[in-house]
Amino acid sequence: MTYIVLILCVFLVGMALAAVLVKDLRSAIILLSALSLFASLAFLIVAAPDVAITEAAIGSALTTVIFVIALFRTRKSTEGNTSATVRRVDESARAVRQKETDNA
Amino acid sequence: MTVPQILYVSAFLLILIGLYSLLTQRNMIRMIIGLNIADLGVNLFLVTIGFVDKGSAPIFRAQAAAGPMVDPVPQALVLTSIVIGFGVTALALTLVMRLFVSHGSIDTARIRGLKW
Amino acid sequence: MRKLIGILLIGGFAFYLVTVGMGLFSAESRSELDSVGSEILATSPDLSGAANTVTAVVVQYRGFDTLGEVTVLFVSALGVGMLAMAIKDGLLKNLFDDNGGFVLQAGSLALLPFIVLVGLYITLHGHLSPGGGFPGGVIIATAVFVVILTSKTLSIPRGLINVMETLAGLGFLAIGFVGLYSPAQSFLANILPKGEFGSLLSAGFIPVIYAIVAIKVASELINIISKLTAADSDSKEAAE
Repeated sequence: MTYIVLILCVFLVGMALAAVLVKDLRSAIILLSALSLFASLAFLIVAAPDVAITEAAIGSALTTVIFVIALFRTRKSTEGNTSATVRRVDESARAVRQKETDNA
Repeated sequence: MTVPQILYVSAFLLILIGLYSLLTQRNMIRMIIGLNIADLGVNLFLVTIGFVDKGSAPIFRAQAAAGPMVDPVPQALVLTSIVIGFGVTALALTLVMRLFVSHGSIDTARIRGLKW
Repeated sequence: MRKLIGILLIGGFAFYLVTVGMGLFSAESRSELDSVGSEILATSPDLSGAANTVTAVVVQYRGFDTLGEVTVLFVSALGVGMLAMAIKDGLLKNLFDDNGGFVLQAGSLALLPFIVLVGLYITLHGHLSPGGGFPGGVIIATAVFVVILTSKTLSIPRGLINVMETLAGLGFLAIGFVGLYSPAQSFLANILPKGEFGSLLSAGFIPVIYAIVAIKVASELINIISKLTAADSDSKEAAE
């Protein structure tokens, strides 16, 4: 039991460090979500299933959604920040769609 | 090392990592991530205080459990704390989005009055 | 410089934590509870009739605290709503440029009733098993988020949600005042019959309060997310 808790806590601290230090903001948010999930496991080990279920629902689902929305809303501009590939695919899809409507 | 001692250490480390992120980051979303990590550490700490050795969850069943039960009071407090923590996070992130609309940046070094 | 100051401050705080926390580390692992915890564990089954003691503490022993908590969440949702109006003026567009595609949309709509069912189960069994109004409400709200996140053209009936939220809040207060004017004469007194211990219809007003809390939490969270993603009707008119 002690070893399981030890491994779990190493995971917890490692994920927290990674969430703070990682360069990409999106990865940091996903790491925070994973940290919440592991923390709910830790809550389960200290015999707190109520807290664990609440943490799993709020910490790893809702908080992630809010963070991702905030990340989307605070990008410099939607055109400038999407990567070139995505934009190219998007444009080609739009061209195909345009052709379809022309044909119809 | 016993189970509570390991959890105390990791809860302290989580609080310290979160506060470090809150103090040193320039990106505001990262600061709020740090706030969340510190929040998690405090919650873990409080729940661990109520733990007793070989304790079972404080739920009565038809056949009585063998060992003692853990303390229900910190768990109820932490339940409250998690929900309020989400409210704080949502409000803080909305403020960040509002700041982005008015200043065009979420970097504290680029916003006058927030730089240090 | 900022990093250095941060590390120094954190170092000081770590020293403080270590000195304060020494008592926790040196002590042997506890095998019995403090007076409050053991008192609650001893009296809770008779006093509240709930098998889950955490639920009994949240709803009955600290019911007023839960009312305050719901109020904090309400104020937070209010602040998000007011700030979201300014954000919408600044950006004036929906969060998503495109629909999620047919498979995601149909899948999310098919998942909706099942997720809501899980949320209702967790809410209504809050006094018997882990769970209760807060996680149940969050799960119900998550079911709606899945649909919001996959569909661009969905419009949330904001009026209906606001009415539900208001009714839930007033219902909480009404139950409190019923307790105040009942023979028990205390705010949020548990005056309903306790029922058979461990069955679904037991523990007096605890399932009722938790159902109210679930409705309130779910409607507030749906409000927050729909305002932030601009999935409500106002912004769609503005965008068109």
